[in-house]
Amino acid sequence: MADHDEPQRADEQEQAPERIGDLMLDRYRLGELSSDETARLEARLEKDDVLKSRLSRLEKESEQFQELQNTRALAAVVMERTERQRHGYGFGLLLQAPFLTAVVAAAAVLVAIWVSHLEPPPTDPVAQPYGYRIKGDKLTMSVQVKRNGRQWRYEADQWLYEGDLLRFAFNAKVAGFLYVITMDSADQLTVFEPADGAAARRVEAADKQLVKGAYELDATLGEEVVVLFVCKTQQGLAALKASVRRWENARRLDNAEVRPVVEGERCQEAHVVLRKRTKPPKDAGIVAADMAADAVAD
Amino acid sequence: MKQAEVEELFRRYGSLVMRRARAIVKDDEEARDVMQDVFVRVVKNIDQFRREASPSSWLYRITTNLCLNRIRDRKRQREKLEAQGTHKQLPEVESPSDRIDVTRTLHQLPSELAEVAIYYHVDGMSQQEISELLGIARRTVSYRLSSFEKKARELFAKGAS
Repeated sequence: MADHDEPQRADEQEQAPERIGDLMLDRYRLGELSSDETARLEARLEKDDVLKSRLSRLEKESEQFQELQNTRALAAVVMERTERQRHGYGFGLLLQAPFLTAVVAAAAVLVAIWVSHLEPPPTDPVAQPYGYRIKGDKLTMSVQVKRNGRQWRYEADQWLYEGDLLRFAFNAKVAGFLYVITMDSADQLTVFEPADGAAARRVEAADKQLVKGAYELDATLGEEVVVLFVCKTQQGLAALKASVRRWENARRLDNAEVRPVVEGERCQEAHVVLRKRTKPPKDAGIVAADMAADAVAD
Repeated sequence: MKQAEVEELFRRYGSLVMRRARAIVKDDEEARDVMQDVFVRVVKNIDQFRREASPSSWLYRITTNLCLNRIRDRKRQREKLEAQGTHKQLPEVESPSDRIDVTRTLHQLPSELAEVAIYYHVDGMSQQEISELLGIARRTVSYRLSSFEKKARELFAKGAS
């Protein structure tokens, strides 16, 4: 576009004095200006009564805000909202509450019927990628999702929402004892398998096996890792849980040397990282706008 | 981060954020909601916030973006209600042809134009200040303002005919 087409305010034309916006005055009163900028502004303030009164108005506004607003209550709300967004409530709480556990159990029955009609897992893991596979390809797992009557295999770039029903499937290359442990974004560890303190279930070396039960996602936001083990011998749950915590913490820190959860040859393991967020608005535009705002914030 | 630190942030920057939000959304209650949203962002990005040479500029940008989201939300909500036949269409207020009513126009324009228009027409910032704030060339600011004004005039012309 040609220069003559550019909109220019009167104060930007010719030798008019530099326009001072509220942002500049805010930065001045908050001590964010460089010494040069401060000197320039103070020189203007000396001569410009209107500017001086604007600055005085901003200072007064700030004082009034501190007097009239309950900053303690405001801060408490912000802290609470931040924590909620950061951690959510986790699978753990869902399973701890008896009522919700009953709901999950009912869902499990329904999903068990549904699972009997699931397509078999693909034989070619490259052509049909699993959510997240461990190096070595000895044990693989996948997640089936059911939402609004539709079902599909979860992939790493997808989002899950509250109310989604999940089922875990795996292909074991050796026989052993099955364990499934999750850790959510609130650091809540949950043992899905074996359930309710029962002894670990022995599984055979075979493809297309399912972990018992189905899980309905609650409103937890963020990532949740699911680790599935097949171990040659029975393992102590406390040690496995501690290992999952170490593994997940290393992954979150983007540690290049994330070691297997269980050292040595005792177990094979597979992981899926679930990504959960609130349901997006129907209009994708606002999501884009939010992302743009996030990009600025980040 | 401790609650006392968040309180201090509110004391220091609260009036700035509130004033800015109020200027854009034109509604006290909504401005308060935006202020909460802004401070949640601050707490979540506190390390970055502390590294900012000018936290005020950072807050200006975040507040502007969140306000723009709100304005678009409103528009969507209104359209939804209209589609359901539960919202009575209000008569459009006549606008002076020589003046651009920025806030009425914002939701109908791309966000990069709306953002620059707010800084220029609502905040009275210079093109140079906007350029520094957004980290874009002054010429880009000028171009976006020009586009904004052109589109705004088209919208008003359409409304008047």
